[in-house]
Amino acid sequence: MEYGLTATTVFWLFGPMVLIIILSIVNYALNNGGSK
Amino acid sequence: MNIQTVATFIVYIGGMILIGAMLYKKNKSMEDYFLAGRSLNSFVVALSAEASDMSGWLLLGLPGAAYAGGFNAMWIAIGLAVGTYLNWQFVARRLRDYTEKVNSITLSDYFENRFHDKSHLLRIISALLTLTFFLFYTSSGMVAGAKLFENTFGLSYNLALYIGGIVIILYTFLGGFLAVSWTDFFQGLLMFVALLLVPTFLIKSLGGFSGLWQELGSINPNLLDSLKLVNYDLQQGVTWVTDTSSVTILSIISLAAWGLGYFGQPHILVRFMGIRSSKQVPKAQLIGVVWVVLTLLAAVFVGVLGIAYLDTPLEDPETVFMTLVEVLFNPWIAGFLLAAILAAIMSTIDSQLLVSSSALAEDFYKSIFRPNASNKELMFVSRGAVILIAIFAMILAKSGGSVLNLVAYAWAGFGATFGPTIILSLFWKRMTRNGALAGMIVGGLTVILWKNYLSFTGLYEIVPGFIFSWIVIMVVSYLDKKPSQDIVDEFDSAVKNV
Repeated sequence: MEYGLTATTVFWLFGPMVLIIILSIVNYALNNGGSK
Repeated sequence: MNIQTVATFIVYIGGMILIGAMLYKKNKSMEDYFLAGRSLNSFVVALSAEASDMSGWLLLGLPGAAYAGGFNAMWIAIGLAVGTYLNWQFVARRLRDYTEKVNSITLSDYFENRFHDKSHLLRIISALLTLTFFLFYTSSGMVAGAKLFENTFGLSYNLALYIGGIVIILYTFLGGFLAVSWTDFFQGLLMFVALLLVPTFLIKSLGGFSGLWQELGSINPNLLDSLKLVNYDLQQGVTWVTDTSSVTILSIISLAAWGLGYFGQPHILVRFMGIRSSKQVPKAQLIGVVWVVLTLLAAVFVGVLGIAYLDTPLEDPETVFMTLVEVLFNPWIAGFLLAAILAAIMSTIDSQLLVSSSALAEDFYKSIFRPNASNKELMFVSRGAVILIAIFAMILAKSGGSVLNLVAYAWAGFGATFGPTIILSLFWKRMTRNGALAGMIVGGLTVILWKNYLSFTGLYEIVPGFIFSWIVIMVVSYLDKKPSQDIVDEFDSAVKNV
């Protein structure tokens, strides 16, 4: 039998983690773009 | 104990003390000693903030929870990651600029100056609460450090406690915030490397992720489901048996609510104040958030990989990281990786000691007893305060006890006492001194009362504490008369750049 992470685990574990890294990158890019 | 591990530990500890000694002469004023003269770059601020935040819990507690219960342990990791992000995003820049504008080097300083409080009430009450909660927090770290030395070197608990305590006192005493920030920076790097190395090694030997899922699934498929509870208690002969009661919304909220605590932790907030300019914050945020997300994920994976990899179930799930390190690596490397646990513990305690010392020296001694004291005298008092507080924490730690309970209590206490006060004071002009005072007292009291009388509800006390404090601040501030024009103008000019 094949096992794998359940959909809820994947969604909640990786969703917020990926999202906050992306937001931080965007925030950094916006701030740096503005000052140069 | 083996000689290689001891050698690595000694080199590592020596390095930390050396940093403290090298930076000894750099501290000429209180602002130098407690904030490194607001001179730090974004890398040092980011890593030292995260290393101060993450205590031994990151390498012992979280992998242990994942080892015992599978992916259900991820809820707390998500709460912490989100809390870290929001704290950097909303609090860091404003707090950096506002504290400089009103010339404050501690949180209590900031509260007094933000609300032009001539009565010193805000300062005294917040400094007292800081000292109280930190005494427990610091001693919980000393207990964890002593347990590590006890297990690694076979020392007696008390001897282990004294050795660990003396090392921490030495470099905090000598170098102040600058030394603590730099040592925390290196400790943060070490924790990062150690936590990522262990799962990377393991995942290969288990045949990749599909091998891991296969292995876990054959032990109990519910380990892979974040909404299922799995029980583990070796002494009772229970190994990974599914709990029939399902995970409730309340328990998920309670775990994720740890993230709320960030807005009120003085030892983390004070890092934001030490950054060279608020323009550096987005870069520091990016570094800090990536560090936190990756280490939290790695810590959860260390736990679940331990289930699949280790043949005999562990008596104490919290030793999963240590056990894996000892099994997987050559003793020299193992010593280095085990030093990461010490790094995690020390980088948190040193920051807390320093904040406690600033509460004694700046908020009590200077503000109340000796307003005209010279820098030399204040430095002397600050350093003395480090020793005094560390000794109290060691006395408290001598009786041992549960690390996690104390941490959870102090974390909730700070989060509910200072969290809403910090956020609203940075974003809401209409907030008044009485609102701040009422909010702190209600937040702190709710945590204490809830913990003692209403913990049967299963709700983590930070949730009601934070909400009640927030509401009380708003209600009291609205009932109070409006803040003076001076305060409003000061607010506008302090936050105009962020």
